[in-house]
Amino acid sequence: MVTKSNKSSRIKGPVAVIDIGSTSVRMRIAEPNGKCWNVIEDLVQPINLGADTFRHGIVRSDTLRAICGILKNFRQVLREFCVDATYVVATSATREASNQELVVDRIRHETGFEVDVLDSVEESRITYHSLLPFLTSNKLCAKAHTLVLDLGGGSTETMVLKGRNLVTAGSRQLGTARLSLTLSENVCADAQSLMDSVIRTVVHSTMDLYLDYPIRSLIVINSLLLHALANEKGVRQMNGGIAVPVDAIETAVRDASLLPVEELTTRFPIRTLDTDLLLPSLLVLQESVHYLKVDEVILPDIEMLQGLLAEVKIKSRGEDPFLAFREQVVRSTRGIMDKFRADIPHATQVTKIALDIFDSMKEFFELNDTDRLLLELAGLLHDIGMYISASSHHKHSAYLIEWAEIAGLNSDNRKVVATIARYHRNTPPRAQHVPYMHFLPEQRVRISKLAAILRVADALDRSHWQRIKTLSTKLSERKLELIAEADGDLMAEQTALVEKSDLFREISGLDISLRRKVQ
Amino acid sequence: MSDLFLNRECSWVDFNLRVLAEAENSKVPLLERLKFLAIVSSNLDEFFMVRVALLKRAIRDKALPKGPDILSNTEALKCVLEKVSGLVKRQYDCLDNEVLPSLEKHGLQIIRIKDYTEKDREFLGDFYQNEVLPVLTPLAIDPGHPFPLLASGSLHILFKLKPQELSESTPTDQPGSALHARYFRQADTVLVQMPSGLKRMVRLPSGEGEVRVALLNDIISLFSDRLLGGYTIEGAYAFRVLRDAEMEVDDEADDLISAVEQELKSRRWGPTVRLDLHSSAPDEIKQYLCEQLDITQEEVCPIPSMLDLKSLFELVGMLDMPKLKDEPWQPQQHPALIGDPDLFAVIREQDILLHHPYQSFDPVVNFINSAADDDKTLAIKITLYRVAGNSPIVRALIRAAEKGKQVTVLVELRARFDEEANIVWARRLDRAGAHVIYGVVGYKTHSKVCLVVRREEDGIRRYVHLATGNYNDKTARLYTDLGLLTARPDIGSDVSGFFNVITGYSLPPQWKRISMAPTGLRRRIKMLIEREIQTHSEQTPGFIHAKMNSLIDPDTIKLLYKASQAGVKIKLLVRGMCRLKAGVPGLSENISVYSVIDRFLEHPRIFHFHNGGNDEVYLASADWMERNFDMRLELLFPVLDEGLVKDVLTVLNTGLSDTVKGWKMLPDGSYVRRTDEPGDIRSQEALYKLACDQLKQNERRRRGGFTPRTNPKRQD
Repeated sequence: MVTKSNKSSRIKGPVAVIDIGSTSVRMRIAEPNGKCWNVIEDLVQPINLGADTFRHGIVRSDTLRAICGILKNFRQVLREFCVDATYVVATSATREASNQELVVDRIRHETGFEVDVLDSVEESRITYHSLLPFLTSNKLCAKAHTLVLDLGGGSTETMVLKGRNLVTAGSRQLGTARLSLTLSENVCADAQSLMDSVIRTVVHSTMDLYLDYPIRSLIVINSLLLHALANEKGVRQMNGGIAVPVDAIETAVRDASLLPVEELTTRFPIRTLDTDLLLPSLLVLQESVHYLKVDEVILPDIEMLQGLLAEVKIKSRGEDPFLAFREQVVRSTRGIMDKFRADIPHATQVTKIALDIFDSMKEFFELNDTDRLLLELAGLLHDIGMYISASSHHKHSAYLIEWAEIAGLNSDNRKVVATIARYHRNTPPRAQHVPYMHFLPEQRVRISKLAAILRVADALDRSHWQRIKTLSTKLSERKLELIAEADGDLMAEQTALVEKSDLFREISGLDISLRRKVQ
Repeated sequence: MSDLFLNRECSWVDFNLRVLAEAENSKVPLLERLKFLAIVSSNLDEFFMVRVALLKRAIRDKALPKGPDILSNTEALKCVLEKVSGLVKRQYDCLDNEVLPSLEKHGLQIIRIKDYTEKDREFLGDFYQNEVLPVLTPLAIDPGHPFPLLASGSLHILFKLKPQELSESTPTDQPGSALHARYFRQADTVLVQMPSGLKRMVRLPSGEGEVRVALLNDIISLFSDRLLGGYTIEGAYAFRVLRDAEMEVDDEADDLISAVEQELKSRRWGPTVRLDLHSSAPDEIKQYLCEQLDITQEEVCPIPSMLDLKSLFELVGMLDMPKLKDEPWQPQQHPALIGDPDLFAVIREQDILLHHPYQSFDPVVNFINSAADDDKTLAIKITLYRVAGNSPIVRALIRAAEKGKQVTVLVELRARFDEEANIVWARRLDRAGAHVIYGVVGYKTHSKVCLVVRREEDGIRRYVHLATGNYNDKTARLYTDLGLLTARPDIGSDVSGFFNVITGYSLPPQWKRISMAPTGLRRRIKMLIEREIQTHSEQTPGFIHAKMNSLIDPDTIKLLYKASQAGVKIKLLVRGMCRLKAGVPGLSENISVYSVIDRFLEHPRIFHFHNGGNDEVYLASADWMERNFDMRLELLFPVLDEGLVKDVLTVLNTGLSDTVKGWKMLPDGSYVRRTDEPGDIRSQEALYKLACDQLKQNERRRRGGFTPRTNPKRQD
């Protein structure tokens, strides 16, 4: 959450973003300068959060105390610059800790910072925001597919891009701090081969997911690798990053595995406390390059903090960053539709109609733009369960959506979309439906309203022939009138509407009817 | 391998021999020569209390020599003591046979006991009774009162007594009374410490244009019967001990302030490292003191005349004789800062290079003052290593903190011999609400940097002062140093990052411009030298010109040898210790080492790398020593403005071509004056004149702007 000292929506003074990661806490203070940011201050302090979570499953109190100490120091710096707004996020190491809520509470209590624990999907959304300027300024090929690995300490966010556009995104439990821990816990005779096999397994299982895409290039986001490899032979300078050829990676891996730890900082321009992470990071890089058979890897000089600043800007305008990401979310959703061989004309038609109805009912139902996007996604995906079986396909749809990797759609929203899709047919929501009852009451109402619209929209393409060309609506006190321009007969739709408008009538108290537009 | 390097301690003595040579230099004004003699003594004291003490400790602990050295610790100590004894002999020769006799011709005399006139005795008798006697504390030594611990550095007098029967007539109500006498009944030795509150030099009544001075220790000896009444005094012997002063503050201590205070208290009582005793003192006195102080006879330094020449400073200060002093060189204003312009506006427009003491230190004080009084200032951050008493900088910082600015001050508590002053300032700042940091655990903060953060119309802007010398307005008049004022964003953000590192807020970032010890300075210097080797070719010969105070680090020296062997021409201007051997065929024939000893203490560190024609010039707070690279927080920063690069190179190159006050190292490590070389350049004088000329030129140019318009009709 963005805590603001003054309520004006425009950012004037400096803002700060803080990222509590698995090996460090980072803060960036920046002030807006036209469309970009002037970075004023960058701070980083090491922590052992990853070691706690990945080893013990919880954040231990010593670590928490250390984090609070660092954040209190950061507060002092914020005072120095009279910072307007601060946005604090935590990533996988906090997310996966079983005492996550306690951690957030203690931090709020001791430092006054409200921490947003980011979903992995939000992480990749933020990464994408940070990456965009790099993609634009380096004019990466618009047609080719690129795999992006945001190699973090606890997890790796993956994205497949086509040109600048996001095709799909996901998250893997592949983290450099995690790997380094695995290694230090298994002190055996052949640490090297253990690491090789662990890394091979985890890299291959990640890459296998993207076999369908003709991936031509690899972008790895990792500041340690960027700095470590910056001076290697054959490195090509890019606009805000570098491209490292395969041989340079091989050389670096060889040196990093042969040299004693204390010499690593001499061989590579890295900090002493990063030495443990260097070899695992390089090995992941090497393995990925081998797997994809690319001749170079691109290391852009970007960080999550940059993306967080972009989010702050969006939020300061009072917008939901999720909405600002709509285009990419929809694109990624279409990727899922392809994957599950959805009836695309039908899904598109239903979605279009649903949105038309939504727009006329938005005020009546007191819904907002985020709801509209959730409905749009539910509309596109409502039938993907057919991939598994026609019978109970609404339930299969719900299951697939809940576990699908849709860029920018976090798990809370994914559940909402899944539930809307779940109720596009058959029984409407009931108190005995356990997953439905997990939502808070106001969410349940919202879901029901959206599901009600979707059911009506689905009825209006009952024939799956997209007979309705345009739809206009007329909302009166007692009734919602749908007026369609259509080719051919609307009998099937009329019948379906009677049957599927049950939920709509129940929730709105309105009658609903469909008629052909008088020519 | 080890004969690649000169011995560090011997090199230090060599440096002081060069300082002594200025005292011996008849072209130097007499009182300045006196000052150089005092400087040599002061240096020597510190050297014994720190370096010799360390050597002795190493010998005691049977430790191996630190770093590559051809000499064992015992051999090194022997070599050092031999050299020092030669140095002391020359120092006293110079004092007794040249400087004092010459001063006598100008009416200035130090009068010893045998030369006191009746009038002197009368005057001094009163003086003794009123000023000295009340503050003297005699310590008797007898079986019940063993030899006491003596404070390091202060002068003592040992009185040898002949016990005798008390006479009943002795009055009992004053010092020297029977009461005292009873106390001394069994004693045959009494120690008196010179009172620290009194000056060593006591001016005697004298005629017009005459200055006659007596020494306090002489006065105490002369009137000792008044202190030790009832005894026959067999002899009075002045002596002085120096003790091991190496501080070892426990970094883990919770409260660093009390740790330093503790350490200060104990410092005066470390093992004795040297005894100064008049050479005429009888053997049994020498033996007695050696036994009591637990030292060998070799550690006794026989002094031919007056002890503790540091007190000659008093004499110089006492006299108003301009013709016997250097012609004063008034610090000049910086041409861009005439008329007190808005300093921040000037710095925003251009980088400003200040060269002290040729140029005034005032702009630095103004910089902090303006920041303190400026509404736009958000924060001021500074490192204070050696602060002058009653420093205007500290006053400005206190004012800023009281005005609600975020003031962060790093006070380095472990600056050797300056701790007591530092602790007072630290507490005062703390009370004013500044964020005071008492150093960084494990490292001594040696960088000199000040950051002012302002919120201006177009956003946050940082102003930085980076320097080679401390924020000390007093030493800024005696040490040559360079300071850079800049508003360059990349340097500002680096400096901001540096403060985040030392305040423990952040790990070092990726620096844009600066390098910091202990994390990257060594690597940077290594990289710069290696790059010079790589870019060197017949067509574009490489060169390195560098100026520093000491060159000790073996790895860097080896790399310089390698560069020399690759053909890179290297000229080094090293004021003090230098372990590198210059001009040795096959090893360092392309390296020359020079040194300048003149009225100001040379202090800037300037490094110039030719870099295949893309010259790079750096300034730094660090010497090329292990302790600067590895044990201290130091900063190296580039000079980026082309005009300023030229100015800095003028400073460096003028120093390198100094033939008047310059010295050159020979392949055997000894130094010779460069007076035989062509040219007649005295770099400090040339640089002072340059500062004057720059100002004059600027004034002329400004005045040129007001040309009166003549009558147009007369333009025929």
